Amino acid sequence: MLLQNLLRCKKKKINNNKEIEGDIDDYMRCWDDGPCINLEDIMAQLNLVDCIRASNVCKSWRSLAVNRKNKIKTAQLPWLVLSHPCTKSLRFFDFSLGSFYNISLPRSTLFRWWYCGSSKGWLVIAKGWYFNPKLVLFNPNSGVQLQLPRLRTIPSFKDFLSENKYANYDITHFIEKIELSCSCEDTSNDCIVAASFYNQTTLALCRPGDKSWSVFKGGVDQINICDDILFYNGILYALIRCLDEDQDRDADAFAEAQDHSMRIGDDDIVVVVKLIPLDVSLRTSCLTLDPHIRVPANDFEGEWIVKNVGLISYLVESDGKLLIVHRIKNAIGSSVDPDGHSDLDLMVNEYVEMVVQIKRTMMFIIITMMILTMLMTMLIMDMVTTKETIYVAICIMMAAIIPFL
Amino acid sequence: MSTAATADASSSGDTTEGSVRLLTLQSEDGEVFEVKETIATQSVTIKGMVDDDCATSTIPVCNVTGRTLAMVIEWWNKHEIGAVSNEKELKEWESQFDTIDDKSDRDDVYDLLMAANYLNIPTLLDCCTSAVAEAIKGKSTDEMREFFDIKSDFDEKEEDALRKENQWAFEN
Repeated sequence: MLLQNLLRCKKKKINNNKEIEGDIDDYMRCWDDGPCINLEDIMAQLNLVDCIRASNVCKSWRSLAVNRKNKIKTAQLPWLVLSHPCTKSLRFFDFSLGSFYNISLPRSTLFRWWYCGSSKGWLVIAKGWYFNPKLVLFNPNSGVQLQLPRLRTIPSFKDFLSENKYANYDITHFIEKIELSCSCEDTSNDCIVAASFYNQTTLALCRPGDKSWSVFKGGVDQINICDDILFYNGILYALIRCLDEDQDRDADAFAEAQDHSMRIGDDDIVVVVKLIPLDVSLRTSCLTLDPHIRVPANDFEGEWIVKNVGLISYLVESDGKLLIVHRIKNAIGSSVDPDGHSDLDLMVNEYVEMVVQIKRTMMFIIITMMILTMLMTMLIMDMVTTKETIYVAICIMMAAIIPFL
Repeated sequence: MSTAATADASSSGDTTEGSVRLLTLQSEDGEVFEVKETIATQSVTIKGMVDDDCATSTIPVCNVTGRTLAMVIEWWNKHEIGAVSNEKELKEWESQFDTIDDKSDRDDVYDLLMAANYLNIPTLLDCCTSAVAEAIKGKSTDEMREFFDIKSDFDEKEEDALRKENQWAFEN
């Protein structure tokens, strides 16, 4: 090693003077002096796990680890979220190390929670009653939670509820994407949250702690849907796709990017929203390059092999530039009806419905059994009259049903 | 090939370039080095002194021992524009600083880090910090303490609380 070569050469000189050698040996090297060894720069090169371990070494290292985020130079590969609802922790997979982590979620009440996405190191979690869930930003690193306004304050949430009752209900289907304007160091409230909801037909903004969402009313609706959103240089960019192709061909109104400014909450905070219309001709050219294919299956009994092509577009910031990334998605499946769903989809849907039905039947039986047992006990013990029994039964039933909602 | 002698030799060897000034650096333990000004000004600190005309007499380099200063001068020689023609070769040479194999390497990197800090040499500073980062990677908290001879100044309760706070990071 070169360092040792250098040292060997110098050793002669040092040996000539024993006093100096003594000095060098006595020389204290204080690795616990964080600022002195540029620990902040060192931490910036560590991944999150190493950084957490390093921050527990001593107080000086800990105080500097906190500032690490401001200095990070190398991009970290994102972790994959592996978990599904109804567990107490979320499971992550780290590509770079090939390891799994189980991160505990904030302790909730008896209600279930749903993982709804993430942005800039924060997880978006919905919990509570199905018709009025609470949205929370949760930072798995610091454990900090920030409250977002209730979804009920978005008008289209009611439509979503009426369309998706009981078995079909999944709150994650309402929330398409959530995007934070900055990684907001835990408690600062200058962070703005933007989100697209309900089949991308609603764009709404808020700040953590606000009472209601501010819905954007400048060009995102049932026909002009919002494919993706991204904060770039403090401006919210939204990729708009027109579903009505006739209108799109004629209208020049959408030919160029449009700027809108929008007020959020009660304060005078204004966010600039830039709408970028998606080029429809691109979609058509993609389809000609890679067309839909439909061929009869091997032993043709009214069954088809179908290849569907879809184009998905994303807004991405890379190397300081704002890019639109198009992804051509091929889906191959078999189908009885050449234009309809593939069999696989149908099977999955049927299976899900069956599971839900079984679950509900079981629930019902258990609850009825519980109530009957309680009533019997009470009657036997002669504790209550018949009238009171009915009230008690209703109470118990309510209490039993709530957790399953 | 690379010895500290070249650092000393560089002073007498390049007299042909008449305009090149020589600077005299003195380490904390009294060793004296003569270095070409063009090389030494890779240090922002020394460049400042030269620009302010304060570099006429011997420049004392506090807190840096002779052997560390020799390594720093070696670094400067390699990083002088035109000294190593091939960028790849330079990277290869630098990569020898990148790993800390044992505690003696660790001490050297510490000394170099201090010197790079004091003399303000950005390239060397970057190299040293990434070497330390590499040494930290993949170690447990206790292994880090052991490797860097750091005693924990948390009490037992604090230590427990710390571990609980990010329990997941300690499971693998």
